[in-house]
Amino acid sequence: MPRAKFQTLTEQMYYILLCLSSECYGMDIMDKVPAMTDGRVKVGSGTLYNLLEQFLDAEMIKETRSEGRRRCYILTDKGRELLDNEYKRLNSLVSDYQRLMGKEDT
Amino acid sequence: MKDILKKVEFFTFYDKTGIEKHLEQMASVGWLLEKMSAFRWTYRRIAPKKIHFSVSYYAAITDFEPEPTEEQQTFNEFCEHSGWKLATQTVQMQVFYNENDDPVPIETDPVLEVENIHRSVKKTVLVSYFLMLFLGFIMGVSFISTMLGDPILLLSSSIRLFTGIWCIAALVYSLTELITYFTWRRKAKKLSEQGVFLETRGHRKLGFAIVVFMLVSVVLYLISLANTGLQFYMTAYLLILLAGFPLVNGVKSFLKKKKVKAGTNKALTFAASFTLAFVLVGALTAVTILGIRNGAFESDLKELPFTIGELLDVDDSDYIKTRGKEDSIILGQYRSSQHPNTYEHSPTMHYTITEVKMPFLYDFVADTLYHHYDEWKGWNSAYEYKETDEAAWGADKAWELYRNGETDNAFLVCYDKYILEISVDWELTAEQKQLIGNKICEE
Repeated sequence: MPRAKFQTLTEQMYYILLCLSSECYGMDIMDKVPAMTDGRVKVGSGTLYNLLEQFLDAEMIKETRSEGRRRCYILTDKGRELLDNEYKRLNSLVSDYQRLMGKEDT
Repeated sequence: MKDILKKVEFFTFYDKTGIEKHLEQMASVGWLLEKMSAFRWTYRRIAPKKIHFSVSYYAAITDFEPEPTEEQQTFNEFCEHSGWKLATQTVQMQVFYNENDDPVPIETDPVLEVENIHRSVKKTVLVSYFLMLFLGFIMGVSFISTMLGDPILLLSSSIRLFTGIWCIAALVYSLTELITYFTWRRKAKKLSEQGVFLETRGHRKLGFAIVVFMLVSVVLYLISLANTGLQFYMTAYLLILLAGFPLVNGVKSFLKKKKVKAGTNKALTFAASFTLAFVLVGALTAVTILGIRNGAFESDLKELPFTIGELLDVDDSDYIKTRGKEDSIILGQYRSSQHPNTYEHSPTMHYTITEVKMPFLYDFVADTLYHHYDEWKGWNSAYEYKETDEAAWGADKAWELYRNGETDNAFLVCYDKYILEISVDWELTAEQKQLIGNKICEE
């Protein structure tokens, strides 16, 4: 079954949105994501460009200012809500794991 | 030592993996891609080294933009930020290279990558493949049904033979490409959900083989027209048709150089192509009229190989004579008939001489002609060929046609490389048969 768009987020989507919780230049995300994940997650330039376009279209982020072609973005309320939902979903995954695996351990 | 290398390449548009591997291999032997057009790619000499290549697809680009759009430039800057430099681009396909050891790929989300490829494929090659498939199918079916129904007609007509072969080549190519692409897309979509990008597969060798095959067949077609007077006119036809492509491209490039807006360029280029189409059709018509005036489209068989006047003691000068010729590199067919210009009963004669230019086809052609009347079975007339004295014809083999058990004064006669079908309305004498045999052998 193909994943419904933005219903769940990929790691790359998740970290891009996380970077945009505060105002940030689009291009800088390419450096920020590996830095905040110890190099575990990397976002390719084409993927980042396309995802920013899609997030803008879905009104999950908005452009705050631009310097030439360098543009700054920030999360919208809708984007923040999606990110919060994803956080909660991930938390429920973790708590399910702890509950079930904890039982098994004892 | 040359610093520029121009190569004709036959990569499938969406064969990202094949193109990247090929460019990496070229760089390892000292050639870096600098420019690409539909077939010809230009490489610049560099010191041999390991360079990574990435082919990106961007459906929003049109070929009419005078310079890279803001979006394109932003995309390129994103790529440059991670070490990917733009080598060159063609419509909706951009080629980047990176000299770092282990660069982050441009595309790190296979789902987006498969979507991107599909958007670009839909906007560019898919329409051409479906059109090619449709035309190839229609013409291919007609070609195959003629091949099964009347193979001699097909094999003796250069234009029927070669257009049929081109259409079948187009059918095979488009079908192969479409099946490969949609199979790849189905599997790639599934795998991309698991975070894996499925490598693409193109048909470089097939593309090369088809182009060579089509070029060779054009040359063979033109050669087959030698001594017919048509050669010059058909070459002119082909050149006029081919001239359309560079002319339309020239208009588009000129407008791009003049920095005309994409929308205006598109409208003007379309207007130019319509105008050119009219001009070219006019030129083709002029060539045709010129050809007709010069007699180029008439058969070069000015005189009949043999006439009623030579066989019988009659004056056939006012007889209606018709003659026709079909010729290819495989077979030639010369048709002739003579009948009187009046209502009074006078002798008539029809004959066809088939020249078999490829000896291995001789038995097949003779057998096909022998069974020519099979389709008449079941009607009121029952036709049957019976062996007759070939020596009388000076031939290798001869049959006489019987209708309902009675002779029909029609014969099928096999010579070294010619096969004669003749029908007259009088009983041929031994001398007349010998005379005809001598005339055929003189051919």
